[in-house]
Amino acid sequence: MRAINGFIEWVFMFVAGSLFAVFITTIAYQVLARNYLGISVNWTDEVALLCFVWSVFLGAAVAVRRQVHYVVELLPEEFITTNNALRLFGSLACLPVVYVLVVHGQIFTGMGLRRSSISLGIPLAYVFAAIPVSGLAMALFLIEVIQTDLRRLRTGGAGEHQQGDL
Amino acid sequence: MPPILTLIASFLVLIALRVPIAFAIGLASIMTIWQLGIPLTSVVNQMFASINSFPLLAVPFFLLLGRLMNDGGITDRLLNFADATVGHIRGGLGHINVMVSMMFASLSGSAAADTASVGGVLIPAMKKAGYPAPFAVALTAASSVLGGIIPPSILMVIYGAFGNVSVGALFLGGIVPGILIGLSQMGYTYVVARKFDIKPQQKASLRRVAETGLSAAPPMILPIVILGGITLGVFTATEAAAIAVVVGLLLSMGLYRAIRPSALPRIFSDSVIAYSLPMFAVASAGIMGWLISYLGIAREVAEFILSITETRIGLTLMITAFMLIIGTVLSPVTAVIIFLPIIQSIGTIGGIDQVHLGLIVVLSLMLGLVTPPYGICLLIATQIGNVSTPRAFMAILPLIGLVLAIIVAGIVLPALFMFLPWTFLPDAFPGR
Amino acid sequence: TAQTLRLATVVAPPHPWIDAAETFKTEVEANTDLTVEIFNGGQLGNDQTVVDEMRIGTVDVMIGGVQNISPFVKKFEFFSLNYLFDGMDSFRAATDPDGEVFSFFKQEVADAGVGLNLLALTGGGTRNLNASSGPVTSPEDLDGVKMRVTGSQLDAEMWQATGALTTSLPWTEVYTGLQTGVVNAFESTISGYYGGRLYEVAKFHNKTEHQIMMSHISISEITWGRLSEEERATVEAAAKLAAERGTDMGEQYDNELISKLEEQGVTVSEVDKQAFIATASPLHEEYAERLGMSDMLETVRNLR
Ligand code: NA
Ligand code: NA
Repeated sequence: MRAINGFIEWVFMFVAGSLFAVFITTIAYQVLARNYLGISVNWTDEVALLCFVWSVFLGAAVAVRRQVHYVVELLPEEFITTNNALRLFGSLACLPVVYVLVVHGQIFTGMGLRRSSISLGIPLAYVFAAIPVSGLAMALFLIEVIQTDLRRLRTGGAGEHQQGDL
Repeated sequence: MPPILTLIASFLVLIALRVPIAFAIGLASIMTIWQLGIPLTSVVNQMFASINSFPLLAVPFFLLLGRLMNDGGITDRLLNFADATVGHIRGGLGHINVMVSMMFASLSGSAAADTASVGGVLIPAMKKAGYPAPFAVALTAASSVLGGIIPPSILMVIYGAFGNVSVGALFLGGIVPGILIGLSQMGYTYVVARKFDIKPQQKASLRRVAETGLSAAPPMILPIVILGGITLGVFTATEAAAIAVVVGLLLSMGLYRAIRPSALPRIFSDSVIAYSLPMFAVASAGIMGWLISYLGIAREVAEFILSITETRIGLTLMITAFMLIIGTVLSPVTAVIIFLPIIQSIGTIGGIDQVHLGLIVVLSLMLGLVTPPYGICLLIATQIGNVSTPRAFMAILPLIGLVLAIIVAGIVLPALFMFLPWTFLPDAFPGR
Repeated sequence: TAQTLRLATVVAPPHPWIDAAETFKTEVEANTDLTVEIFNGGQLGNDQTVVDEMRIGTVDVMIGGVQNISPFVKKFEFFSLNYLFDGMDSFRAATDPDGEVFSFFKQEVADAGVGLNLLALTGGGTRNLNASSGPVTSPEDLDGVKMRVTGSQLDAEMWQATGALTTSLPWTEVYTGLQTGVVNAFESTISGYYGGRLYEVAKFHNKTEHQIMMSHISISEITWGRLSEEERATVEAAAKLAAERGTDMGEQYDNELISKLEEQGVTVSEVDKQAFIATASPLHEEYAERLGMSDMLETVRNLR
C-alpha cells in the first residue's frame, strides 16, 4: 500500500510540477507573441487553464496523503485521544466527497466528450478527467491515512501538528 | 429541516469536528443536494466551473515568485536594504509589509496574489526579526486586502459591470479608504512593535545603505517590470505575474546562481501543493455559492433586511453586516454576482448612492478574504507562516476592527470616500 | 404537484433576453400550473456551466447567445460569421419558428445529444466595434491594432482578416485591458458596451453592425420529458412569443442606447460598411464548407 501510494504521489508531483512549468511558459509566450512578435495567439489561455486545473486536482490529492488540507483545530494539542478520534472522523468524512469525485467525476467526464473547448476544439473530457483521477488517488491515500489514524488511536500516540493547519 | 439549514448547520458542525474545510464544504453540499433530490453530478460541475477562471492563475505565479525570491537570496538582499533604510524606525518590517501591499495594490487587482508574494518574503523575515508569527500572518493578510480596494480592483470591475455602476468612480472612491486602512495598519504595527519590544536598530551608515542598495538593485527590476508592464499596456495582471516569475528565475539562477537547475523540480512541486490547497477550497466553495443561488435565499434576505429598517444608515450597516457574514463562506466575486440585485434594490429604496454602496460592499467583502472558513488570504498566509487559524484569527481581529471603523466612518460621512469621485467624475452623478 | 422551472441567463436588466424571459414566465404561468423562476446575472453559472446543469437536470430553461453553446453544438459557430445577415428583415426570417433555418438548428441541437431542446431563436441586439485609440471607420484603421476577441478560432480569424492583432481576454478583464492598453479595440453588443461602462475607457463607438446576435431559448430534455402534452404546447407557444419580444426589445434598446452613449460624450461613428463586408464575405464560403453548412449559407443568403 505504502509503496504503491508513494509511487502515485511521485508521479502526481512530477506531472503537476511539469504542468505548472508549462503554463508559466505558455503565458510568457502569449506576452511575447502579442507585443514583440506581432502574432495573434488565442490558444494560450486555454492551455494554461487546462494545465492549472489538472495541477490543482493532482496537488489536492497529494495533499490528502500528506494531510495538509486546511482544518480548524478547536482543541489544543494536549487533548491527545480526542484529537486522534477527530482525526479519524475527519478522514472518514472525506470518503463521501471522494465517492462523488470518483463516480460523478466519471459521469461528468463522459459528458465532457460532447463539450469541446472554445479555441482548441478538443473535448473537455480531457480536462474533466482530472476530477475522477484525483478522486481515485484520494481514495487510495485515504485508506493509508485511516490506517494510520486507527493505529494512533489504539496506541495513543500524538499526531504531529499538521503543516499549514488552518 | 429547510435545505439552507442543512447546508449551513452541517458545514459548521463538520469544520468544528476537524474535517478539512474543503471536504466539509463538499460534504455539507452533498447532503443538501441529496435532501433536494437533485443529481450529485452538479457537485463536480460546479467545482470545475469555479476554478476554470483565468484571473486565478496569478496565485500560483506569485506563490512561486515568493519561493524563488527566498531560495534565490533575493529576499535577503531586499530585506538588508530595507533594514538599512527603515530598520531604525520601530516596527520597520511591519511598515514595509503594509507599504509593499499598498504599492502592490496599485499594480494588481488581486488580494490573494499579494498575500502570496509579499507574505512569502516578509512572513519568514518578520518571524526571524522577533514578531509573533500570528501577528506576521495577520498583518500580511490584512494589508493584502488593499489589493481589492486601492485601484485597480478586479472586484470593482465586476461590481461595476454587473451593477451598471461607474467603474472609474469606484476606482477613485477606493483611494481614500485604501490609504486610511494602510495608515491605520502602520499605526497598529508601531503599537505591536512597542509591546513586543522589537528592537529598532542603530541607524545604518550611508556606506551600508549604498552597499545594500546596490546589491538589491537587480531584483528591483521586478516591481518595475510589473508596474511598467501593466501601465504601458504590455500585459494584464495575470501575465505580469508570469513575467515576474521568468525574471525571478533569471535572477536567482542566472545572475546570483543561488538556485541550481537540479533544485527546480522540488521548488515547482512544493509550489503546486501550496496553491492546490487554496484552489481546492475555492472549487468547493463554488458548490456552496451555487447552492445558495439555486435555493433562492438571496431574495429572502432582502425582504428580511427591509423588514428591520428603512433608514439610509441603518440599511447600509445591515448590508455591511450581511456582507461580512457572507464573506466568511463565499468568495467576493461570487458574493457580488449572487447578491448584487438585492443589494441594489435595497439601495434604491433607502436612497443610497450606488457608487457609495458599491464601495461599502467591496470593502466589507474584502474583509471576507481574511475571515475563516473562506478567507483565502488568511489561508495562504497561515500556510506560509505555519500558524494555526484560531491563533491567526485572534491576531487579525484588531486589524479587522480598524477596517470596520473606517467602513462605519464612510457610512456615516459619505463625503469621506466620495469626495474624489464627486470631484473628478461629476458626470457619473447626474443627480448632484 | 406544481413544478418550478428554473430559467437562467447571464445578463443583468435591462436586456432583451430578460424581457424575453419575463414574457415566457407570464405566458407559462397564465396557462399552466408551472411556476417560472428567473435567475439572471449568471447566478447559476456561465452558459457552458448552465448547459451542463441542464444535462444533469437541475436547471430547466436558458436564454443566451448561440455562440456560447457552440462548444456543445458546433454548427452554431455559423452565426459568428460577420455580415451573415444584411439587416433585421433577414434576421427575423432566420428566427421564424416555421422557417428552414430554425428547423435545421432544432434538429442539430437534438442530434448533438447534449440534453437540450431548442424552443426558439431570438435576438440579442447588434454587435459593434469599440476602440480606445480613435474612430475606426474602415478596415485599414484596424491594421495592427490589438483587439480583444472571444476565444473562438473563427472569431479571431474574422478579425485578423481586417488586419487586427487579436488576443483573447476574459470579458471581465476587458475594462482594465483597455484602460492600460493591453488591447485598444473590442467588439460587443451595444448593451454590453453600455452596461459594462466600457465607454469610460473606449470612447469610440463604431457602427460596424457586423452581427445581429443570434440567441436561443432552450429547455432541458429531462424537464421536457416530465411535462404533459398540454404543458409542452404552452411552453413552446410561450417561447415563440418570448422570442419575438426579445428580438423587438433588442432593436429598441440599441436605438435608445446609441443616443444615451452620445450624451455620455462617446464619439459614435458611421463606418464604411461595404469595406468591412468585403473583408468578411470571402470567408463565408470557406467557413460554411468547413462546418459542412454550404447549403445553409445559401439558404440564409436567399432570406435577403
Ligand atoms: Na488594486
Ligand atoms: Na502585506
